[in-house]
Amino acid sequence: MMELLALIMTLGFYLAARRISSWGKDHPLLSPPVLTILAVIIMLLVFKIPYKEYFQSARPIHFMLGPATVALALPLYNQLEKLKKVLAPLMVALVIGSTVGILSAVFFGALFGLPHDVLLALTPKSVTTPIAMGIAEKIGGAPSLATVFVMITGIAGAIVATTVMKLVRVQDPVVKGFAMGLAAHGLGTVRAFQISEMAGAFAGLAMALNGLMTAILVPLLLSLIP
Amino acid sequence: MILAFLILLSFQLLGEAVVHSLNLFIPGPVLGMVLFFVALLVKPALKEKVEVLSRSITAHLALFFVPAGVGVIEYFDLFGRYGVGMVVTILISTVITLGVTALIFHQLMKVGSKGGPA
Repeated sequence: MMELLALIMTLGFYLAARRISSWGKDHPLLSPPVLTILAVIIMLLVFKIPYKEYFQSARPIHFMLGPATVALALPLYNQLEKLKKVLAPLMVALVIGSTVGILSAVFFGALFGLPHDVLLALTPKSVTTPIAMGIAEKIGGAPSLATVFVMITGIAGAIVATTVMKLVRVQDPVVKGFAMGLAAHGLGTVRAFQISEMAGAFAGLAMALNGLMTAILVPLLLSLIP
Repeated sequence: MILAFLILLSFQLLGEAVVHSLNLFIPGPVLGMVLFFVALLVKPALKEKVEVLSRSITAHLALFFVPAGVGVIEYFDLFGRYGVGMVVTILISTVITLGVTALIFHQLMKVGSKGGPA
């Protein structure tokens, strides 16, 4: 019964969150995944349900993350012509964006007096959870803490992305999507799909590429972390 | 629909298997996505078979993040100590990363479309 309740609750909140988000004209603060996560957290706290029990029950939903990630190849394939045209600038943006993502987190973290092990767990914050956990583990940071930072980054990215794009005066959906997927992995990709399929496709690509790039860069930049 | 699901799961499995046997760093599904992309390049006919399912599940990508995302609840006590510093750091870093990536990509594309180097 718990399993059914968890599934019904998650699906129900998700549908409600989508409706609220579309009422609010997809305002970034009304991000559907963020609203759904908050609603579920409130239910778990109110009814004192342990997270492990909820997760176990909601597993069928979590399972779909795998095939959904694989399916991101299709929107990208649909943008193949576009991808060929922008490949060189895209690769340069990837290397610089990835480096900036890692070093800016370390720099400001150190500025705010965060301890060494927290800084280590911050380095893979822009990449998707399983890669972030792997990187944190390899360099001696706590994988569970890395997961939390990944989630906060995704939420922050989903909320601020459109505002930042306005600030830097970028309108091209390819560029917007790529920056969102690079800086804020899956949740950035979800946000990019709200803009257009083209933005979503490039966000999915950026998420995959930055996962690889961060895994290469973090061990190289390790000596710079105070 | 079932065939499409079977295809996606097979590529995920392929990704997981390669990652596991080569002891790679990346998650299986991400490699599965790369392999599926390559497969589409080699055999474009695959596209029609997965299109409908692929569209409907990528449209609901947000839903699939929920169970893992709720896991933030397990770390509430850590935020008592370093909460503000951690959240502000992530916020600033995310804004900078978004802005720098978009600006560089945008500027390089403008240079590229002006007919290459002089």
